[in-house]
Amino acid sequence: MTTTTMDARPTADTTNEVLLEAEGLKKYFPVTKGLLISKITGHIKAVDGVSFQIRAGETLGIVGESGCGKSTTAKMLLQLEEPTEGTIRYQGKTIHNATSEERRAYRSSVQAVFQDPWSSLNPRMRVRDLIAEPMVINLDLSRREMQDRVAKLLEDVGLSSYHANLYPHEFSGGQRQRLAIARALSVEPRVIVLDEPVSALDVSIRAQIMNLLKDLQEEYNVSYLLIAHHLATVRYMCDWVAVMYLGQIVEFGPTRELFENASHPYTKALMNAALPSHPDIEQEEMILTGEVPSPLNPPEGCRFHPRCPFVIDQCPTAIPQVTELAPGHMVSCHLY
Amino acid sequence: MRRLPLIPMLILAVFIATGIFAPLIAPHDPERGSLRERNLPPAWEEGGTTKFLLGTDHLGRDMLSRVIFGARISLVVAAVTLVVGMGIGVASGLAAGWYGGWIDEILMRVVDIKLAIPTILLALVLVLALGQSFMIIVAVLAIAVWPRFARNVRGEVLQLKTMDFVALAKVAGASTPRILFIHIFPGVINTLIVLATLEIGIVILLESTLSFLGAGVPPPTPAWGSMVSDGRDRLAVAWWISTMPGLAIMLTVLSMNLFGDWLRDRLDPRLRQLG
Amino acid sequence: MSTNSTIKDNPVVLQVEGLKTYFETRWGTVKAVDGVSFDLRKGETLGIVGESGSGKSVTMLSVMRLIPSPPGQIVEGRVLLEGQDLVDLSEKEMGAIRGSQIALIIQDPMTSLNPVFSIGNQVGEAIKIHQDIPKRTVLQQVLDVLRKVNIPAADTRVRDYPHQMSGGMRQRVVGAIGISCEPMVLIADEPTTSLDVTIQAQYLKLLKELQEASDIALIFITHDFGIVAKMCDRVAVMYAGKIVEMGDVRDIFNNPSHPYTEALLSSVPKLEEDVDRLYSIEGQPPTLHDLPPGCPFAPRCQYVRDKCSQSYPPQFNLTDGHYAACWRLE
Repeated sequence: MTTTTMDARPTADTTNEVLLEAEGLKKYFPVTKGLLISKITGHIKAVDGVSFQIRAGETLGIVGESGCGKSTTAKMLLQLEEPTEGTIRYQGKTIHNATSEERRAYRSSVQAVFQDPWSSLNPRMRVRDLIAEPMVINLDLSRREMQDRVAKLLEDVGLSSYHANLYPHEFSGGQRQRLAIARALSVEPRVIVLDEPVSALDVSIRAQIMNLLKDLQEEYNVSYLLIAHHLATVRYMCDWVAVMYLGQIVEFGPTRELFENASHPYTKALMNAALPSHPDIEQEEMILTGEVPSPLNPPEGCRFHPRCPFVIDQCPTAIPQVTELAPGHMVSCHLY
Repeated sequence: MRRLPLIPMLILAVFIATGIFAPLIAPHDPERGSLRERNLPPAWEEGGTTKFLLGTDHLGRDMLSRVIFGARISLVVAAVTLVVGMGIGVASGLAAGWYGGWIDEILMRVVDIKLAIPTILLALVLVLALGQSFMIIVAVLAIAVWPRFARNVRGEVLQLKTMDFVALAKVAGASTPRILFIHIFPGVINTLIVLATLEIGIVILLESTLSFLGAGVPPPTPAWGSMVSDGRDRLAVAWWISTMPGLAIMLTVLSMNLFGDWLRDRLDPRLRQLG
Repeated sequence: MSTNSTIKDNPVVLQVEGLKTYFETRWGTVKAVDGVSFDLRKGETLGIVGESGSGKSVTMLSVMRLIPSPPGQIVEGRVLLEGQDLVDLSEKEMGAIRGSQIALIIQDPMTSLNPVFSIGNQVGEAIKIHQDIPKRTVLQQVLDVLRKVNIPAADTRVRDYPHQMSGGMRQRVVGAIGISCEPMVLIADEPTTSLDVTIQAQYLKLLKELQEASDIALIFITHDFGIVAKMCDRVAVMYAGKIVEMGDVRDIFNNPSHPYTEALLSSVPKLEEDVDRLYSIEGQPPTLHDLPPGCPFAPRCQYVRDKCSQSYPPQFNLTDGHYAACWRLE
């Protein structure tokens, strides 16, 4: 199989229903110049042709460094940003030209938990109203039913029903993240976008939240899209992993396969740069030089070539083909 | 943390109470006097009587009653002005901050233009052109106060709308009015309260200035500013006619400002820089 | 790390003995640092690990004498830098030592540089304060230092302002200020938390090289055991203001003896292998103004016994230089 854009859509050993599908997603932000009459002088290509699938009950991880476009991708799925190009399909239906009824259904099927538990809960609302808000907007429930569900959700995320009357500032960071999860679950979504859900928490709290998310996945049969920069977290949480660099997916595969046979030089560099879990683990010396180029003028050919230690002749000119190395393991690199 | 401003709060309470209950408290009719009893000094001065505690003015009207009814005018004008000015300010601030783009551009330029015109001058021109009435005064004062509300609210909105909880409300499908009124507006209220207490002082002072210049609430309604003006020519013979309402203006505005400063520190330390 | 045996013979440069730093707050006395002792040899790297509120940063601010007072105060203990007690020094004397003999690299490269001065200016300032050198040579020294931290095209970038540089470059400038006067001890407080992994790797490598070049003693304040595994010779684990376990990095990783260390290590996901389920430490870190008697970790500890809530455990020595404070080792 050879195409030019990475199609991170698993072909191997999975029979779970495809819930959410992104195809050729692009997001360009215009760059303007001039004070009075502003002129568009270029585009920041934050996301530049990304395709992937999220299947029922599974977790897809997107890893990459800041500016690789992973958060913008998440925002497009959450309809916080309009894609410049490409389509998002939910259960086979394109969201772009959906009826308002279908859009509504999509809204309550795809929820989110963000990184900063201090900014993601309105400080002036009681927990009860915070958790119930998505239900108030999307479902037609009586007060009573609403209260019961809030109480159940609080217990499901490891808090108690009496917490419903408190305000967010009365909780610690980890507890606030639990509240954010309860809120996301309130409309029984099929997919939850997790944007760095544990990186703002204390180390001893992170495992609590990761385990909670795993348990809830089972209980609510929900799929996750996990956006993260910490590779070990991704390994622990995900079934599938996509590695992004400068707005494109460079490698994709089942988690274990990808971590054990990382093939794209950028993936390898990320793994080598990641901190080891034991002092005796010897890491290959593969430290990238320089920094990520500006997405305003991404390099020609393979976008990684200016920093790649294995660069060969065709890298600066030709866009690499996508090769399937093992079932479901795809890489976009001239070396293969 | 600053201490509770007890004395200013007490003065304000007295001011508000006298404003509301003026007809019950005032010992005399503020608009009628007897020329036989004109220019009487306050009770503690030589020649004063306990019948007129603060003396009488050049038409023999009781100063105390006039100051009490003056409080009522100041209170009503300040309250109505603030409601109108704050309403316009909040609406335009929310719109400018939330929608941005050309709406923001137009509203903020209007604010800039307003802030560049001296308020007194604008007020005098408007009163001259449109005539002197309670409505006109309120309108003029509202024009004077709304830009500050608009600008502060816009700033708060710009900051609040980047918060994750706003994005999450959108993800949950919340409509724009819902986001504005449930998530954004409550975050602005603290700023509004503080700003309002500081603006009340300004409004009272402005109203008094206009009355002093003869462009305020039309006579014979007793406004503090016009009372000061009435006594201006008689300072040498009857100093109390100007001084009593002048003191009332000073005490009220000063108390308002002290109270507002305290409230500002209390509710939002970030506002300290704005002044 | 391969030079471990030689480091053990190096002279001690920094010795902290029974350090206690308390803060007076509305809710009572907060014992942020409560009896911390450790020493540091020339060329050695010590990791101080702990969560927010563990006292790791306050320990280092105490060593630098940068505790805001009031409300904070060093109430007990000594900080000996080559035998000289820093706690007794006047602010002026300390000012001469701070930055020149013992330097601090702070967490956030965004706020530790002043946006209105060029980076040449800021690095130069650090040099001028401590060294009496003619103006002409300051620029030369600034360039030398910037080259040492691998800033490309140092002679043009020296005129740049912080906002013109990327996060990684700014972090290097902060590092350059730290090493500009060739300190004996360099303290890095979460120096890489805001950096991307590949940039972090570059920076850590640089710190290692700088250390090896001039035998600096390095202290990493961090919450990340990965940094410890990669960089440190020895580790001190802090919890609620106290060091609960200390030892060589391999002893700590191979034989974690305090339940908190053990729990922390097993609650971190691993890059190299599949983990079925992480151990999760229940509960929250304690609030320091209201500590229970006995061991502060007891409410979250899986091995808790009666004694734990009664008195604080002493240090039990395990192997040479490895000790832990836990009743289980009695």
